[in-house]
Amino acid sequence: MPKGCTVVASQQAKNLIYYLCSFGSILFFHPLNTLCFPSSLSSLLPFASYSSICRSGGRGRIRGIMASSSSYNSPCAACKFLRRKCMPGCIFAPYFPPEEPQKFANVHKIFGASNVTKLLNDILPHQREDAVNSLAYEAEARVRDPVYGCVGAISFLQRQVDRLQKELDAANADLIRFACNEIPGGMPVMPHLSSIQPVTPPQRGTTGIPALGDGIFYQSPPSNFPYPYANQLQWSHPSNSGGN
Amino acid sequence: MYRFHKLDKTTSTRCAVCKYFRRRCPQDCIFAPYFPNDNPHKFTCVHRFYGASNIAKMLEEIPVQLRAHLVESLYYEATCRIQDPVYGCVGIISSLHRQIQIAQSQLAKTQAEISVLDANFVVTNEPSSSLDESLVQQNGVDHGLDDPFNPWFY
Repeated sequence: MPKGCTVVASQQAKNLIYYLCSFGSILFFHPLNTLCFPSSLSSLLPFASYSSICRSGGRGRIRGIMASSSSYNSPCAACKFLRRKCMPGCIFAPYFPPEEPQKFANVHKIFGASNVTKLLNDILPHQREDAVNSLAYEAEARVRDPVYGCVGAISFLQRQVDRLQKELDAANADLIRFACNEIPGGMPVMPHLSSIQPVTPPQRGTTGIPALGDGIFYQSPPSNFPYPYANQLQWSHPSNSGGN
Repeated sequence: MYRFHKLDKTTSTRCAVCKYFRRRCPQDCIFAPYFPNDNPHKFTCVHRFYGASNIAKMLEEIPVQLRAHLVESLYYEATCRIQDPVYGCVGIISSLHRQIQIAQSQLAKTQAEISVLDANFVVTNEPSSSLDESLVQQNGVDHGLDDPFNPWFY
């Protein structure tokens, strides 16, 4: 069996459990646009090690300023991994501390050090920490699920959104029925119809999340993109009818 | 006088990857089934973030029947990263989480409203001596003294 292969049913179940636990938690953005994870749920998250960086975002920035001095004491995780001298001004040093070697190992395995360097050079310095954390997140997701990576999580979450929207529509319909029964013979007072507004791609510069162009998927994989868990469950359990 | 250029058979059958690297595309090229030459943009996107050697390693590590899904997911992530160089598809995950949060709170609020209305509905619509009232007048006959459990009428 090839290394990293996810054909084993138990591994697929583990992947599903991983997603149910980790992506069922709340992931939010710190007001300063730093990717953060709630500390109370950090134990459930696969990237718990990164939360310490996010919670100490200030320290991360200070670490960036002190990168040159810290490198004399110990090389950053990237230079340690690559077995090279950690020079002052090392681009990786502020974001890959030596106490988190797995973070760089994952990123290097999936993206490669040179690609990460190019990416960081194209980004403004104050955004690099978030970029590295998001790359680390994607890399770890890809290590755990070599076939679908983050896209598996996106499709899972999208299905959750769809399910909740249906439940909300049903609940709103019930509410209207109750309102009609309470005011027989007259126009019912329409309750506030709360429903999820479809997330339209915001324009760049408003919320920081740029809109995607035509033909590019925004909310979910394209309609012809197979939902990963449906296929995996069907493949591992032929008697199952669906992926939910 | 006229130079007839021989048709290079390999040129027309090269996959997008081999075309990108300007090399001969072998029969067993691992990229060929997933990066056809009519879509060079796909490989350009994916190569920009992952690199050809990493893609090849990933393809080799998973079964053949799942490789197309791998390539599509890499393409999706690369496209998201091009559109949002800082957060990539993690931004989409965050947005979906926010939607789920909003939906869950709206659902809880709506269900609470329903339960309040339900409780009020039960209280205001309790039946009161409906049986006696129905028996008093039936077809113009006064059944006010009748025993509802032992009616004498036909």
